[in-house]
Amino acid sequence: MPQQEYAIVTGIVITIIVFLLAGFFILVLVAYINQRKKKHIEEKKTMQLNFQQELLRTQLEIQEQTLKNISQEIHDNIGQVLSLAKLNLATADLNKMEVLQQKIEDSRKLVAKAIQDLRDLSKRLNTDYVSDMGLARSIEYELELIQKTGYFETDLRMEGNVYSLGSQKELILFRIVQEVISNIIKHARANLIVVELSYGPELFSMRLFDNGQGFDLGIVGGKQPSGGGLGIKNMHNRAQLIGAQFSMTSTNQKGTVVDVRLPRPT
Amino acid sequence: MDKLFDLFKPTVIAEWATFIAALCLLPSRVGVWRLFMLLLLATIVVETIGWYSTYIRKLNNNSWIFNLLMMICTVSWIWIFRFAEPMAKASKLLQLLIAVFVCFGIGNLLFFQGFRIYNWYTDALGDVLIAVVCCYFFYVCLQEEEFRDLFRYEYFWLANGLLFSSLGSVVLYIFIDALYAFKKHTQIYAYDYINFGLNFILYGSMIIAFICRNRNTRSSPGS
Repeated sequence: MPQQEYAIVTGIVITIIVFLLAGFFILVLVAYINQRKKKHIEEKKTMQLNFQQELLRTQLEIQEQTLKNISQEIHDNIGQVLSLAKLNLATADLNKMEVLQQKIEDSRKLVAKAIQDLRDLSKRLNTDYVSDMGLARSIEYELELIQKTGYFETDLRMEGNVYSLGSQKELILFRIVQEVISNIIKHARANLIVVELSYGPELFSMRLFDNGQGFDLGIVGGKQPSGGGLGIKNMHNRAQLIGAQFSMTSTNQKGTVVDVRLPRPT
Repeated sequence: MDKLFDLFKPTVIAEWATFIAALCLLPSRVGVWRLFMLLLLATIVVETIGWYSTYIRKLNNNSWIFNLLMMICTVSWIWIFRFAEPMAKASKLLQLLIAVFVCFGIGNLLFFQGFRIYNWYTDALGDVLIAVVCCYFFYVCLQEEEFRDLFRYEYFWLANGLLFSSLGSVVLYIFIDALYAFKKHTQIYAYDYINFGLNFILYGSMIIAFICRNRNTRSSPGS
């Protein structure tokens, strides 16, 4: 009898130990999952912080690029127009009434153009103009400015009903556009810049291409975001930051195509 | 002297220690947690009455008062989780569990095991329900969006102690007859050792929970 009882009690003790181990396992699991949760939350916070920093950097870069553009615009366009107006007035002969009237009329038109251009430029001095005007209008404006230089033909093609992608995402997309255009101006030897915006029901896509000389992506590092080509890497990282897919293809003597795809925000 | 020794069994010492800890660590600002002082006092009083009626008055039966205490403690432990932040939405579930337990407990008291023996069916059911509540509490803690340091959270330690105690007690009560028979034949107090081990975990966790509650309510009054 005691032998049997010993066996029963041993069984009971083992069962209790198994139950306690089950409880211990639950606790370890809870502690482990909680630690993972902590890590995940910290990572999320770091990512948010990085995003905010990147956004701030993007804003600063946009401002810098805008000021550069404005400076160039004042120098190349408004300055020239006003100089011409000044020259017209300086060379006006008061004795030749017909010529004088013509020159005054020309000067008046030139000054009016300069005023209009200044008005347009002043809008861009507003630091939040991308948020205020929206992505499509901001790009349109950027292209107008480039077109005015006379060196480039520009075209903005739109498809679908325009919707907001969110001011932060639009800001980053606009900065990508600026960066691509800046690269085209500096390196592509192109005379045509086209931007296509497609507002699909599920997907927003933005395509920029030129008719320039193209380049070897392997050398610049476009295929490998971790490789060289800081500008391309920046664009790639920024696209990733807003959950967009960024791709760039370039063919020798046939230009470069940049493609950015972003799911429509819900 | 032997009689007094029987009163101060390790479990009762643990209860006294926890009661003293509750007196020291649970001032008015801890809110509903002051209930533990009453529960522990009731436990000590019941243990003393049980000892008195068995060893001094030589009465054969003192189960009724332990049955009552067991039901009050189980209901209180389940109910107190209602005040844990992560369990804010589980109020109805807790009420349901309490209702099930009380109905079963009263039914068992009146129609099955009665007043004269310890209602371990009810105790076992209470332990299962407490284990369910503790596991659910862990689950909702992990579901929270914000991180909570569980090792500094009083309800975590309470759930910890209750979970271990209830998991062990379920087995203990299911085999209580076998353990008593074993004790009778061999004079080996297996039941008492296991019971003390489980109570040690329970009351140890409770003291840690009191410390956490005390610290966590220093800056703001708790519920």
